[in-house]
Amino acid sequence: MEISKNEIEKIAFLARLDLNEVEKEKYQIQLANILNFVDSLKELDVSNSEVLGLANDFENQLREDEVVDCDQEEREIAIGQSAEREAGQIKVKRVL
Amino acid sequence: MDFHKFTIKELSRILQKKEISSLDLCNFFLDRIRNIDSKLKTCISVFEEEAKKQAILADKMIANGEKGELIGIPYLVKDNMLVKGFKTTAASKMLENYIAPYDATVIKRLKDSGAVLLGKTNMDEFAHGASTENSAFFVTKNPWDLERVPGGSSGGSASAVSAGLCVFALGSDTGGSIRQPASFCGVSGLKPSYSRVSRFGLISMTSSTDVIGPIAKSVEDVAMVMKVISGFDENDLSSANLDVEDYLKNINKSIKGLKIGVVKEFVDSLDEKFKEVINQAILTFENLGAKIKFISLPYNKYAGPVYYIITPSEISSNLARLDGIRYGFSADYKSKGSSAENLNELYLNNRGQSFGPEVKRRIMLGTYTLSSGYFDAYYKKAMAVREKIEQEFNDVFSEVDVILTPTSPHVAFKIGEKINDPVKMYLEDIFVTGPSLSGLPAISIPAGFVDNLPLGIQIFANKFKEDLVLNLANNFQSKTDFHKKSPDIN
Repeated sequence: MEISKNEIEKIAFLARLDLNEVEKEKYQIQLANILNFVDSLKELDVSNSEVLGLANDFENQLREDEVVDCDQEEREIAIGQSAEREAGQIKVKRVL
Repeated sequence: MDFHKFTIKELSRILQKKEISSLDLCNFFLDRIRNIDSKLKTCISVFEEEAKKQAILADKMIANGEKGELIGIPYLVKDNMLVKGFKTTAASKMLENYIAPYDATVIKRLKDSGAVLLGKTNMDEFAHGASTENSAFFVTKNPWDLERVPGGSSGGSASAVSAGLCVFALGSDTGGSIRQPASFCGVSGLKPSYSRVSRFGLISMTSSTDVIGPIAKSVEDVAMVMKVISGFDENDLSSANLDVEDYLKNINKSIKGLKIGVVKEFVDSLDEKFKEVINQAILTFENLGAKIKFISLPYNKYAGPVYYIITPSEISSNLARLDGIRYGFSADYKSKGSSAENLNELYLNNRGQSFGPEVKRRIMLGTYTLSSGYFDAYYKKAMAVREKIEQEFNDVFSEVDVILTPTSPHVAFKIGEKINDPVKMYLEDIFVTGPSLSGLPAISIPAGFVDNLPLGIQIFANKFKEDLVLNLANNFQSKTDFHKKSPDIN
């Protein structure tokens, strides 16, 4: 199993990680090693199994759609840690 | 007095008799942290003032005649659980200055029970690792040998309990992160069943296996903490809406006739010295009247590969929320003004500059296994094999009550020994990922020493059978004294 530098760059962008050249080279080797480690799963044929995951373990927990006042101190700590604020809102960079 | 060697049970008795106040006990442990932690580096933060306030409240509870095993008992918590008004860093540069806006449910429950929180412990960044070397801040040492790792990712919690810097600690376990450090540090650590303990306020890593659990000096202490932190929480969708047993009620019950499955291929894979520890443990259980049955778990050898597909996949998704906009590390926003050209550049910078190597590795791996063209071959396949592993456990539990395995294939390794080889580090989890993937309750307890370093055994049972696991483990501790040994550190 090998991963090209192009693939590493593509994954890094999908994951929104800025990597330097040294990191790219390192992950190219390490990711390939890890994928070789997990490759033993190829020995198994599970084509007939239906994967349910955790879907059957949980039920939605519903509650009334009521407005509940937020603790002001909690609110202030929660939104007070944003990089930029304006008029009680969190300001972000332009998207396009 | 050697209060640092006392269990919750012993200290609770002394506190209730008013032979010592909770405030004095709190000061005793704060002093100990001040004097010893520079050697061990277990704590990321210590809340001296807050701890004293909580201790004074505990003294009032005792004066009012309130009963409860944890009143006035000092503890530490892994730094991935939220404590309102204090830093919660997950040992990452990303959250280095993050202040928690609310208390995790486990913290709230412990506060209500009168336990006294001393501070937060070191861990592998976002709980990614098996040695605590992946902390962005510093490496925690093993109190039995300062050149060795304490295990991980809850290495700070296990090391602190072992060295007597607190009476108990909370850890989190995703694929062995409570049990393996408990084994390396010679303490008792329980990974509860999946969904047994609320995760509200735990920083998510792998949502399908993450659990919070106690690390303590004895199984009885573990049970006392479990009694307080377990149970349904409407703030956690995955929390099980089931009654919680009184974990202390049956803990001393005879285990005569109970069937223990020993995984033959696990024991065979061990070096002679470690095999001897397991064989002695088997003998102890036989003397207690349990029946030993050798079993085989052929699918379990795939647990590691399955775990290292599912975990990075969930990590890549869970850690996507960390972008440095609402909170967390901000590369150039605040100090240099708006130098990022657009939103993408901002994400790239904030994440690229603040995540450590293992976090990046796991996010990259997970992004790859979930990406178009690879999803079926990796993630979906791993999920199918995961169900086979779970089915295999189910089948075995129709023949035996619990399964006994080593916790780790060896004792604590040297700092730096495995840090540059991710696959070697991933193999650390070989005996512990199976129960995690299947949501089973599993404990590690001290079972012996090899070359003067502690080694643990793991006992696990079917889902929600914590009482059975604790019963077996407590019986073992009634006949052995490995858990009473403590490292010589002052």
